[in-house]
Amino acid sequence: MSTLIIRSIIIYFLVLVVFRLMGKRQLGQMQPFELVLTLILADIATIPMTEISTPILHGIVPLLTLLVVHYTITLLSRFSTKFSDMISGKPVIVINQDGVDYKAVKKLNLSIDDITESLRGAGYFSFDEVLFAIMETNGKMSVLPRAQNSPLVKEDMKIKSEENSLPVTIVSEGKILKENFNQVKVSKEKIMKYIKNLGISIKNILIFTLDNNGLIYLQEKYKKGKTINSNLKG
Amino acid sequence: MKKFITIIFVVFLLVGLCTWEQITINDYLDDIQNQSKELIEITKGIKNIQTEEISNRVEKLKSTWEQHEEVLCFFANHKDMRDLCIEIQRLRGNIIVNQYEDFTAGLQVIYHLTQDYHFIMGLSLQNVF
Repeated sequence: MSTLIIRSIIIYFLVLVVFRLMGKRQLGQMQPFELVLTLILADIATIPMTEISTPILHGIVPLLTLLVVHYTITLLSRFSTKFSDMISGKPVIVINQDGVDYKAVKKLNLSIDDITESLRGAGYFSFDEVLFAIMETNGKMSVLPRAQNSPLVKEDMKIKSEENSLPVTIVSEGKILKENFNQVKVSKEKIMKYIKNLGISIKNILIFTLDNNGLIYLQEKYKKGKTINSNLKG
Repeated sequence: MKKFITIIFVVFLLVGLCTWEQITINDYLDDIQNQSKELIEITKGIKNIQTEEISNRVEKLKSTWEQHEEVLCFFANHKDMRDLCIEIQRLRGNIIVNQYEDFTAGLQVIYHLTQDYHFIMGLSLQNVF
């Protein structure tokens, strides 16, 4: 039984390394070949884990081989558009100014119901609202709405606003995230002094974020969160 | 770049493992196969297997097996290796009770089990497909 435990740990870490090296794509963002690879990897990993008579190398070698093959395909795809198109396919315009391109839809082996469903998923319930719709290689639909159906933005209203800034987590669950200090343009000492002046102990802070516009989100443990406009601007 | 170096390392590791398997493991199994083949030749036509030469050769086969068993288990299916081990261990018992038929049958099994490994794991077109 202990052999099973050791084998499981080895395979777990190996799979972890392989997936880390493969990249951070989520299931919905995967190219078809990546999805197939993930399924194969999962299957390969379980065999040496449970089959004690199979040498663990019979699991490790295919895992590593697939990693190398995947990396090679990714590398080649980066250098050659033709190769990339061959492996992942090309984005296809399924709706254009003339309406649904039925030829393209049939070529993709899709039905009009599938197109309608994808449009609804993108937030458009009528074909009228759409100027262009593109079926991406990962199976998701990108939609360019007609001008009258485009969402209103500040620029349309000639409203000037300050550029957004990414809130950086400084304290999380009572722990200071030191590695995040270099992402804000305010010195560490200044931030720590500000927190001290608030009269809150670090260990009582659930979340403390700061952006370069000086906007703070602070929530103490078991208390309500609040937004503070501070002078900690970058 | 770090990823690229890791992949290169993995490629070398795989090539190394394959080379080690194809050369060393094949040598070990060939050694066992040759010894069993020699024993088959020696025992052909004789009924008394309780001779010093056969005993010595069986001992040699056993020690060769014991020397390489652990390494072989890294690459070959443990069940197959166990079968091979049992057959090798049986030879000694067959000599003690002078069981000629069982002895030669055991040698044939050893010969074919080692040959099986080449059939299954050896680098050949048939094995790939």
